[in-house]
Amino acid sequence: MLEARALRKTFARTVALDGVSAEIGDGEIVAITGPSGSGKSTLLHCLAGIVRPESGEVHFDGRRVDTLGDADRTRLRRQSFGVVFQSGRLVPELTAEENVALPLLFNRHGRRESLLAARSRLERLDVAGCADRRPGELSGGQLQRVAVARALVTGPRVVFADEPTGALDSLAGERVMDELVGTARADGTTLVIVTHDNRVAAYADREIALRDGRPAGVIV
Amino acid sequence: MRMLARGGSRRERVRGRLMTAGAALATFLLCVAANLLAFGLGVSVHPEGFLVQTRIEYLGFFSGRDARLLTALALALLVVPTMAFVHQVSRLATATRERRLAALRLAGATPREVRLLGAYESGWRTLLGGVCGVALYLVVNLAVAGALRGAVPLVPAAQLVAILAAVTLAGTLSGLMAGRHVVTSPLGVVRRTPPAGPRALDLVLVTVGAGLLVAGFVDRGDFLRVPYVAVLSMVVGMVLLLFGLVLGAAWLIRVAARWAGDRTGTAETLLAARMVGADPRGWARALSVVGLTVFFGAGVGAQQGPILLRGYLDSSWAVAYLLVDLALLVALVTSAAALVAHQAEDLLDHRHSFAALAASGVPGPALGRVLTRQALIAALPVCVVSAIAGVGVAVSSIWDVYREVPGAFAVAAGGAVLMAGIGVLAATLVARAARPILRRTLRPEGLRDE
Repeated sequence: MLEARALRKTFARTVALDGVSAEIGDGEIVAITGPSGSGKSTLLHCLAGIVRPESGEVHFDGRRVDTLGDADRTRLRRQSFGVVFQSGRLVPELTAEENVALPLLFNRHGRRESLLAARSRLERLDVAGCADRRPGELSGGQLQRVAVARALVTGPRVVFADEPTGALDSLAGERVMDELVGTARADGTTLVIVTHDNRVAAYADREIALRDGRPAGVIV
Repeated sequence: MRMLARGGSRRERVRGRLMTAGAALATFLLCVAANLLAFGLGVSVHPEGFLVQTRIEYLGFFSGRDARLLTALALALLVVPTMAFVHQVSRLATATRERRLAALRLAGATPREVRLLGAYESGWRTLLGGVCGVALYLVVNLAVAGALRGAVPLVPAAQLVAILAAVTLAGTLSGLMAGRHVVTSPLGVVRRTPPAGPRALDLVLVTVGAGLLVAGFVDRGDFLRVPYVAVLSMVVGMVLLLFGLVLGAAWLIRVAARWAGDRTGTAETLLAARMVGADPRGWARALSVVGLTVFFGAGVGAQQGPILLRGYLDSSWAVAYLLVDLALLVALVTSAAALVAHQAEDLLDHRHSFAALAASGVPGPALGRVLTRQALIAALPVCVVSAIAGVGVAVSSIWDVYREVPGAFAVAAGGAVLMAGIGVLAATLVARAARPILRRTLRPEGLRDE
């Protein structure tokens, strides 16, 4: 469903990706691992259509993504992808419920419908009690589960998670991963996780290891 | 200075030129003001031997000493919003050079040293602008003196140097102060002032001011019995109302933001309303000049109405109106710069969440609309209330004239609607100027954790 072929991406003189290829199937859970600076996040950004590689190809459902214009890639991300970041990256002024409803509102759903869907998603992730609180009033684990709810609320085909437990202690991290992987499996959503934590990588069906922007092997 | 300028982008060069242009205008205005004070004092003698005063008749309205004094004062006052504009550009420079300033901190520069660099830059820019302003003044002075056969004297060199020094000093201090709005750390730049809600105290001035104004208006028939009490009450009421409106704007903005946020069905308005509602005092500060401009504009419009309808417009009124309009224009430009600076600082705080939204598929133009709606939500109540207050003050102070001139109320109401519209339009158009800053915020680099 999601395929990268010989991706190359540089930042100034630094080669972030150098001929990386990957294939990810429907409903699969894949971890991209490697040390700092190995190009994990850059690969995730290329797969998600956030950045364009300088060479190589990215395909989603047989459609080439890397040649699409910015507006088309943005539309693709909004309709088919969800993204979870390390520190949640929620809007601090909105309540948890409003943060989760935001992607639906941007998709032109009604206010009431969006807030109901957000509430339901928060209930599934066991953070409904935080619905009326703002991000600053939440614990790290709660904040990250709200971020997961926001990524899942539109029913995306693929969820990209960039170090989703990087800012959490091990217990809270485990809880977030249980919820994220459990929900993805239940919904049949493809999950691509970037991590340098072996415990997080263990949740995946398959691991793509990178080193210095090059493939270091695929661990099944 | 060289460290800051190294690798400077086109935008930074534009900002530098704006600073120079602002300083040039301020210097020019001060020189002209000094020039107006310099003649008619019996100190100048024409090279041919006759007194300058004999030539002053060529100056029409400016032949009168009082008219020249008042005009000089008005021009000198115009320097305040002009230098405020320079200050806002300095603020913008600090808010949009996050990486470079953070790199300087990483390299070992203390926060004070980073601020000193900003002061050095704006000092140098204002000195350059000041020299341009003096040069412009000399050219204009020579041209006018030639046209009026020597009736216009030249400002003494010592005064020109003093003006240049004052503008440069103000620019340097402004650069020093501009850096105080944010904290520059090795990890980036964040706003110093946390978002804050309105204070109950802010409403006291509005209430007392409006009360005194109404009391003075009701009591105006008794001028003969208790001389000037009603006038005094109205003047004090007007001043308090003016300050009260500036301080109380935070309440208006918060109420409007809550109202909009609780009812909207669009993501852009929800985001805008909640962001404005979280920092109403910041928005009130940024919009204070817009509010004052609308207040004075609507008030002056209401005062002009009966004069225009009666056909009383002579050269003295025309010059006064021209100066007022010029002041309003400069104030609007200043307020525009203040709003852009405020939104740039606001985006510093939201760069990660906005970059995350963009990565999740929210289009850049939609986030651009958030900026416009923020300005709309905050500016609309401020401008409407300021326009009503401005007209109210003007009409109540010349109530008897208004009763005698048919159509004056309609002109005043039209002026209020126009000024409120101009204020809101200016604020929303200015929000578009912050879009390039937003586009930089949305780059994927903003997704990386610090």
